[in-house]
Amino acid sequence: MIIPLIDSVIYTMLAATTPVVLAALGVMFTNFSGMFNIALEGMMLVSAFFSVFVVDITSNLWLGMIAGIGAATILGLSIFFICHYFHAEIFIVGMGANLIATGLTTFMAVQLKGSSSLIFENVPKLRRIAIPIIENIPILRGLSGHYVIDYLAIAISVICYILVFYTPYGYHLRTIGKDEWVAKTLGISITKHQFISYLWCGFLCGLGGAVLSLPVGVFLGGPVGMANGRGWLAIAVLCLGQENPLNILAAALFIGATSALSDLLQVTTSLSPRLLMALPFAAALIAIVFYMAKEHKTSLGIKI
Amino acid sequence: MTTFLSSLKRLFIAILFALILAVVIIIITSSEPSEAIKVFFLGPFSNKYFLGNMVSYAIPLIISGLGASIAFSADMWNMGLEGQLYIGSLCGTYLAYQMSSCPKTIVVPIVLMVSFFIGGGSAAISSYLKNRWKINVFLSSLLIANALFPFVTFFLEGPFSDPKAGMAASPYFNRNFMFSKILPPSELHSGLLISLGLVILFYFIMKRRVLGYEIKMTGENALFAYYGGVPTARIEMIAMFLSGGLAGLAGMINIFGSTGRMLGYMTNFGWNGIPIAIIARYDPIIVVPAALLFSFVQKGAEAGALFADITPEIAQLIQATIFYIITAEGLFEAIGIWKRKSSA
Amino acid sequence: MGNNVKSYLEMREITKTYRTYDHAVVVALKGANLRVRKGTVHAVLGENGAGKTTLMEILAGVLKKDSGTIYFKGQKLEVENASQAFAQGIGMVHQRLSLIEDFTVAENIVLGIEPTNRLGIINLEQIEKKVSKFFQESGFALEASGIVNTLSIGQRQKVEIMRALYRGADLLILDEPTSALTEQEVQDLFRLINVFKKQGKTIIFITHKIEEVLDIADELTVLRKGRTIGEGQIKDFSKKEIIQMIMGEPISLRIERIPLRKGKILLSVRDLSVSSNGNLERVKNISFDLKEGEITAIAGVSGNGQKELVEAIFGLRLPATGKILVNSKDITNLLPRGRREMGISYIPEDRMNLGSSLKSSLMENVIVDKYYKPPFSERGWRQIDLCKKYAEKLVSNYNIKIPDVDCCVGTLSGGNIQRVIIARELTTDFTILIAQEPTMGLDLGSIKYVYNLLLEMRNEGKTILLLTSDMDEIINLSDRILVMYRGEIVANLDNNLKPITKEEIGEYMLGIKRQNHIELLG
Repeated sequence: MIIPLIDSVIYTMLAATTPVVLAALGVMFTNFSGMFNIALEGMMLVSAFFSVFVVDITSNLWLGMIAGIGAATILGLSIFFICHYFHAEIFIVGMGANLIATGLTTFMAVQLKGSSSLIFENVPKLRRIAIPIIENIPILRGLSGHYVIDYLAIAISVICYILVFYTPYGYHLRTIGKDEWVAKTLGISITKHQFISYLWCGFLCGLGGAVLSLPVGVFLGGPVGMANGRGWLAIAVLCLGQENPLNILAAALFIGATSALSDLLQVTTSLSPRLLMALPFAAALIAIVFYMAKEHKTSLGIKI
Repeated sequence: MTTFLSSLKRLFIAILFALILAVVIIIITSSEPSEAIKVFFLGPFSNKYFLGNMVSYAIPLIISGLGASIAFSADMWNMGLEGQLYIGSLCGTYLAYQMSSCPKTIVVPIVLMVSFFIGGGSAAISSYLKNRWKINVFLSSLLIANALFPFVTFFLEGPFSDPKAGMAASPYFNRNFMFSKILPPSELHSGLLISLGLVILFYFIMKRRVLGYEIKMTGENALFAYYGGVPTARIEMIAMFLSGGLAGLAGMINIFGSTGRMLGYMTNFGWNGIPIAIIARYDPIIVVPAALLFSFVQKGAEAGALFADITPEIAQLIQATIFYIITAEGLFEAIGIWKRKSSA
Repeated sequence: MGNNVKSYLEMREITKTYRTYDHAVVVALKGANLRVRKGTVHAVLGENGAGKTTLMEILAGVLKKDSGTIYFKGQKLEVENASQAFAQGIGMVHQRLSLIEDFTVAENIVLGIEPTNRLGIINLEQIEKKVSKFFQESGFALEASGIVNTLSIGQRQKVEIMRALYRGADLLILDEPTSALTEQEVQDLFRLINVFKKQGKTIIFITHKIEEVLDIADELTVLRKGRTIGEGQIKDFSKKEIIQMIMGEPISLRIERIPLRKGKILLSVRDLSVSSNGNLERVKNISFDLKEGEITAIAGVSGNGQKELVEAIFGLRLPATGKILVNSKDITNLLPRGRREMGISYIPEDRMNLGSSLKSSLMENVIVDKYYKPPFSERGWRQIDLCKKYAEKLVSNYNIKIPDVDCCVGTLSGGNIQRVIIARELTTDFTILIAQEPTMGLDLGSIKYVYNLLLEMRNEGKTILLLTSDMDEIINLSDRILVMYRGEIVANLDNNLKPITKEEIGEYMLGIKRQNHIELLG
């Protein structure tokens, strides 16, 4: 009885972690470059919409994923260009991008399909991948049977760690993050790195959005939307993980664990599922309070 | 004065862009574009009913826009307006429901006060967290708001629900408590006077009162303000409290004016306060036309859906585009319409 | 001898305009010229704001010029960014040191040109070995694996010089390298410069201190208000001529300071300890008194706790332990407003973020310490017309150049912003003034004005706590000098008894000497 429960908790935890960790890594890059992107929610939403929509048209999951990443990247680059060329405040443009994403996807869903919440029944869906031996071991079983993007997310976290701490690119990025003046005196182009960081953010949020809609073939528009606050949780995760991708992964796993816990409590107790939906947000806030009370840092690299 | 005029100019440009965009989208999507465009633009003004509804829809937007303005003026990025509006309205509605036998003159002020204090209190938590542990207001207010939504919905679906409603909604409170209608048969209600009163009140607070100066200086450079002698921690707390309080009022006034009970679906009155405040550049007076613009787009789209084949969700897209355009301050400079006040 | 026919470096008719906050245009260079011969030490002289740093940053690729041409090693030089300038052999050590504090020395040295393996991965150990070897070859003793924030300012500067050399600089630009150094460190740096000169390298040395030029430089170029107004061999000029070239008109900074009888104690600091943001103890158990009619200077190499001490006195930072008393009343837990009401006034070093609000109007800036008191406000209502009149009065009294008092302070030049701050802080009923770098960025005429103002205040019986990196300012103005080293007061020197020399202060600043307990009591 208890072991299948643990299996399922681990499984849900990993699944819930993926979109959050991807978005958090995306915003980490923009944070390093000094152009903090808060439009994660919007970028995930456009990706969730366009990926499932393209799959509906082409019946090809890969094309769908590329379309989602492309849409998120375009939105991200529009933020970059408006800020860079029109001297707009990044933070306000990010809010605008979030609104645009909600407005655009909801409008397109209603215009093209007649409803803001779409269920595509006949599209191919992302398949679960079972890992041969692990799928039969109790407790570890929860690690198996995830979607390709879930495994990718873990791999990307490790790759980002190596990238940030062991490559010239990472050194330059961290230099900009710590002191733009130093970067300037050494000829490290800040604009170039800001641009690249928005490409990263688009790619990662695109993947994070695709993993929301592709496995189930569903898109939810409207004010709550498919991202459902995950973009904001990603910012909280960045705040907990700071500049280390592995810490970010750990923080995202913590948020994933609270989601799993909220699912578990729904099954095992009579607590209202509605109330339990508040759990990840409350947990994130409490974790930040504890973290900040212990460390003497400012909560984010941005001044908001 | 110059900033006031340039803010107005920006608003006009935003309206212009919005109208052009609306026309383009309607031409693309509609089968009878000319008819649809006519309904979209003239619909809200076609008769007393539509006009009244448009103004009525703007009332909560004006108040939440004021709420966002006052927090943003102090550089406190209160992203939790929607959550503060929800929790303030829930408590207010519950109180009104429980006090159904009391006279209206007692109930309405008390309920509004309670909504104000509950909304303000939940916003002030963020400023406490900032002051105590340097936690980002933007982040904490968002997380608190996101945790509040399911909490409020839980009450509207369970302990404080109307079983006959078939959706998340509270029961109706005593109908006598409702604000009087100004322009029947439309929904326009006397809450308009309250909202305009608040605009004037906050205009004087921001421009003429010492508190306004303190909020402005805290927003423009908090470190300098603190060094100069402004008690910034207290000012930030006050700004957040007023901001959340106004959000709570916005929700409750809408309930007293239009719905008569609390509905569980997202009205977006709180969220929309944010772009309205930014479009108005935190000027309490300009919040009014900005809110009317949002309301006009909303009601135009609704009229278009009713009498032509416009998709009502177009409203959100146009509102978002107005905001997105107006964020690109340099754009206005580039096309030479709006110049920053510069000298030297 | 071909080098002498054509200069090693020639910059012709360089112009540069800046856009400040709020897009006001400031002209920094209006056609500046510079000719440098190979193997010389070339001094670039000028007042603050003369355009020295701008000219050099253009050469180093950090800034882009608007017009003009640069020839280097006989060829036209076009650099887009700093790494291209490095590739051409031009390295600059900036006044504001450009090191990442929590990286190691080796990481900082290779930053921007990190060697990697075939996979693009950095091998830190290999880099440290390489850098250590380079250090050994250049006879420079420093741990390559040390973290930069554990180093002194002098050491950090050497790391930057080494970085420029590591990247192959033949032409080394040093921007005000001595401003944060003690006398002893300065001599050390000059020895290093002479070594480079012998190796055939060319050095451009920016400064506004004439003595240093006479000590070390071979040739000089003088800039004033963005133009080159004089150049040539050092030996062809007298000291007086150089000063005249720099200032345009001769102004003497000499001032008359007659010792006063000591009055009663206005401010006392008792056993004060203060920690920095990173929880390091920056001020350790300090006690001192400030008396009426006295200018007390605090000397010290920057980063020895002066900043934290002042911030604690003014209430910008909470002390860990200890007390601050004004007229025997404890103010340790008051907000800055309360401290201002107790008679403390403060001219901070950071005038852009702390001393003024660039986004706000001049009027809003000058009333920030008194807006809540009558007549500036009555029963919570602001008296805006009166505030404007008050601001206009300050503008004319302090000769601030601004079109009207509603203009935002961000449109002003640095010197004008400093005047705004000084005007505000001195136009109150204060008895204690904390002045941190009060003359930074001012022209000589204004410096003289500020000096006289400070002395006038002192003669009226006020007490002034002066913190400045300008040693001449300390020696000329102060009655008493406290020297801070590693968060402690290591010397209490009476400047009225016998004149104190810079060398003497320098020994205490470097921690070579310290007074015993009885001497410290004064």
